[in-house]
Amino acid sequence: MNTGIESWNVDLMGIGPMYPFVGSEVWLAIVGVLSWLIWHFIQAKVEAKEVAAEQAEYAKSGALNKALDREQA
Amino acid sequence: MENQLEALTIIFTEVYYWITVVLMFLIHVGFCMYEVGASRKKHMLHTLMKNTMLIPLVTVTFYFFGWWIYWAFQNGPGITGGLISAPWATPWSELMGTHMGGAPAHAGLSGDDTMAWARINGVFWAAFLLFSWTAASIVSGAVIERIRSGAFWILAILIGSFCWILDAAWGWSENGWMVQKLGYHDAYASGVIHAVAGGFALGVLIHLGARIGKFAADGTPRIIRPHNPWLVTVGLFMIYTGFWGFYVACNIPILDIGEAAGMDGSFFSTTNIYLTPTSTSAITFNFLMSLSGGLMVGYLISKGDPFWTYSLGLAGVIGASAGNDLYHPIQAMLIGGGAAVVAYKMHHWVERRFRIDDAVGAVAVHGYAGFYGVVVAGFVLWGYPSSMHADYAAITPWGQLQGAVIMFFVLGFVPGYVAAGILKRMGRLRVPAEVELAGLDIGDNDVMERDIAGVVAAEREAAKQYR
Repeated sequence: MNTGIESWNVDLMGIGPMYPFVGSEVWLAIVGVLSWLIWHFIQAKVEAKEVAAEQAEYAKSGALNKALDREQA
Repeated sequence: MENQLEALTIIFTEVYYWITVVLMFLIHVGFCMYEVGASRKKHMLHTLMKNTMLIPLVTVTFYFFGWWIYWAFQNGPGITGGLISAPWATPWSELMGTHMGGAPAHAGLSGDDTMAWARINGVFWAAFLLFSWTAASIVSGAVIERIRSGAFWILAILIGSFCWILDAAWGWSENGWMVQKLGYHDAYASGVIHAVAGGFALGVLIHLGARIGKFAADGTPRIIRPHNPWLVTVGLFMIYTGFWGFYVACNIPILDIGEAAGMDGSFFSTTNIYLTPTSTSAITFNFLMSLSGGLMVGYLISKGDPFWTYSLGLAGVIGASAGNDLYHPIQAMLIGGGAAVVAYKMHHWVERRFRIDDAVGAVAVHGYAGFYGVVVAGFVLWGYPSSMHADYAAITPWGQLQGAVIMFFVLGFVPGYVAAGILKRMGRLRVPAEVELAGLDIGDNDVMERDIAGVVAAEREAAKQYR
């Protein structure tokens, strides 16, 4: 099993890419872009849920005044 | 690399850019300190995380498409030519990874490409990336205490990995169409980073609206005091420090420009991004003198207000940056002082007239001072060649004015205004009023309050045995 470089005892001037799995770059780019987009999707869902819960909590009588008092303290 | 001199030049250049990246990291530390200090206690953690998380998001998107845009879009495309092939800058390029510079493994790259880019691509990419963080961070400060994090991060990617790097392709590269046609000159990014980010922030602020309580019923603005003024000023000091890295990152440290100048022999020099000569000494003079001009005028005009004095020092540097590769130091000082006046006066006029709540003065310090800096360079450097290419336009006031408008309005204000408008229509731009009033950290604060109560109760219980 070898994922890339097999030996350093070679003509070093001839070495190009050194990372494992040379040839997989397009797939890596696709996985990278999908990971980024999925992150936004998850974050947006979580944030919307949290904000809605906080909004509901602080819409209750007295909760907001308590929070403002805490800020002034 | 077989030749020791060649190896020294290449590895020196590689390490040079690496050091600039480390120094520029301090800009981001400074922005975080500054924003957290400027926000109220109930919003601190949200403010911190909003700015922190732009780091990974702008980084990965700059890897995916930002770097390629810089190299591919220098003709517009469609103004001086089509898309330019840049096989070293695509996210699937072997040169966007660990590489020794030997023969390419993939079609589309030549041996010359790998030799030229293997050791420089990562550090050059990172130097540009740190500018991207700065552009997004400028917007971050203006919108604190009411924007949703998710909305901000989309805007950060738009300014950090698209708008600014497109303007860099056009006006901050050797062969950008603005350099060719307008003679655009902006050596240390008055317009390319600061005006574009300031304009973008202004477009966002119009849709975002002011913080609750910022304006009285008659429109008079109120001061919302930073919860920690010392943190604000240390943050600005940190930005000054990182700015040194920003300045040297704008240069090519060592380049033979003899042939481009038509000389028979070599002439090695530091150059700016347009590959025209300057020196590190010159920009050191001018950085410090323009900072001094901004600070001196800032102190007087703000009557010694620490927040504005520090900020206007920064405005001084930003205002002189377009021409700081060539100015005389006293010119830089005077231009920096002028920038402080423009930023301070414009901020207060816009705030009162349009009720724009720019929480940290980012639009003024970066946007207006940057715009001014680009225009002033057109007058002071009138007739200078913009490039080593004799057929490119020379620097003129009208070329610089057009450039400033493109930076501030076309690539800054318009995208910011449109993107924020879309997010607003989707109900995703601003937090609900209840959440803003309670504080964006309310979840964390509630947990903290509950835990403090729990810990104190446990401590009282434990203390009983010692009574």
